[in-house]
Amino acid sequence: MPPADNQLPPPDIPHAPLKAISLLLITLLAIIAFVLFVMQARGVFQPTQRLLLVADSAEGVAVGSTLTFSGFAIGRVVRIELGNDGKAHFHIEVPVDDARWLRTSSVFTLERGVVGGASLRAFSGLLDDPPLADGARRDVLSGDASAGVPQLIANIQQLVLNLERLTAEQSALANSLNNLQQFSAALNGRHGALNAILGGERNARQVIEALERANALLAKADARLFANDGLMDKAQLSVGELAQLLSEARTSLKKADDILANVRGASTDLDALRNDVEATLRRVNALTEQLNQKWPFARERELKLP
Amino acid sequence: MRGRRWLKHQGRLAGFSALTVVAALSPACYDRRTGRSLACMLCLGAWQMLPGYLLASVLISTVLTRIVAVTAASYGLSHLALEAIVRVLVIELIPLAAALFVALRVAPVTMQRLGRPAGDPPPAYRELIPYAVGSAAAVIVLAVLGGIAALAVAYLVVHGASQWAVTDYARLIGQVFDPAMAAVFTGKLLAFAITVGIAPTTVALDSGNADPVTRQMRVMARLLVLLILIEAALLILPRL
Repeated sequence: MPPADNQLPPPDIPHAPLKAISLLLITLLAIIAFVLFVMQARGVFQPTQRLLLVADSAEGVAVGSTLTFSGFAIGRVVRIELGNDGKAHFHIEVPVDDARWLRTSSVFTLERGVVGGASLRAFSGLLDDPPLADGARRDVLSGDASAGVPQLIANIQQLVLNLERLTAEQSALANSLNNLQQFSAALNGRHGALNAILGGERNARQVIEALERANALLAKADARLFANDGLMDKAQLSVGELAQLLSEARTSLKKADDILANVRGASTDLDALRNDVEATLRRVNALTEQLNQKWPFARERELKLP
Repeated sequence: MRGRRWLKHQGRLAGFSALTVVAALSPACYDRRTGRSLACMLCLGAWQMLPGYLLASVLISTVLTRIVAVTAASYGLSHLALEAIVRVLVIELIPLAAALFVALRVAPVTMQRLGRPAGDPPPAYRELIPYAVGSAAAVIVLAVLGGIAALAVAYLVVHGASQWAVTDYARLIGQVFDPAMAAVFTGKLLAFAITVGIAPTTVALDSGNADPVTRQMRVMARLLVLLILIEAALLILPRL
């Protein structure tokens, strides 16, 4: 089947070669620029250091996932492998510029949300600690929001059962509501709250009668106490007499005070007398000693040893 | 019997396409006349289509970005919106739209020029190069420029004219275009370009007694099926 050369050429367009070359150049430049942009965005031109994070599970983490610090991506997962210890090993590349946020005391967490992938986060509480070394290995603390969902559902189920039990026909809550309804009906009754509290119209009537009797008693007491020549008047008279008695007692006490003052003066004279007697006694004593010394039968004083 | 004939026909088409690709990759097939014809086809497929295509890309990107961003925000998933937009728009929709735009513009011209009455010998492969390579290059030009425009529009719709999110956006694009995805995207773009370039030229093989319009419809259907197959294959293959 030899090909023939008998076809129509494409439609002629003015300055087609120039336009085509410019288009191709623009496209080529756009492709090169985009490739460089993507390579720059992927950190190809940045010096990086390695970090190995070890977690119980690699679920939710993919190659390309970011390691964030304070919400900013500072590293990227470049490889995930199952280590010999049966744990997931995340190899992370951290640009050297961003590695200053990672310290020896940094803590790494892996948090899995209910929606979306997992997120690796770094926390550095002490930024004065030494920087994390290249190739360092750290364990990851895992927090799994979806892991709590089954437990949550079980709890909710229990809650619904409890709610059903609470709202059942013969439940305590229904009985309480019935009692409350009876109480409110009693409140709206003839004797109002008294009827509701005392549990019956008869009791309420007895209380009301007791109150009436108490009122009558009070009226009688009032007549006895506060009437003319009543108990209160007599009490007032007695109080006046008591006051007079007290003033008399005060006068007697003044007299006693005077007597006591005289006694104090007499005791001063007694002191002078005692001093004279003591001086006389001392003199008699000295005289007696002199007499003893001059006495012919004065005893010799000797000391006998046992 | 019919199936065998269909298979034989498909084999002829595959051989024809392979030879056209080989001819397009052979520098000896290019001379001054071929180069001028190629430039004309490229201008027909890309230069004349560029304003309309870019406008359509920007409009569709704006609308889709807005829809995805608002929907994601209402579910509290704003951080996933841009990634979804980049994956859906730039990697899936824009290349397909570019291929369809170029196919609709260039394929009728190609089929009209290369169609031949029954009994005529098929055209030389050298004659096919301007149509095939011009159309393929037009697909790549439109897809690349449209994709970059869509990326810019997505950023502007989500972040506005702020420059402070550029770093995060660059990181996101870098994350989306990992080596595997970049290879898939490049392969898809090349497959679309080759399909749009070669499929219309297969009209030169259909030299039966069929009506020219029927033949052209058959070629367009073939082109559409191939594009859908490529799209489906590249959606499924990376997940296998």
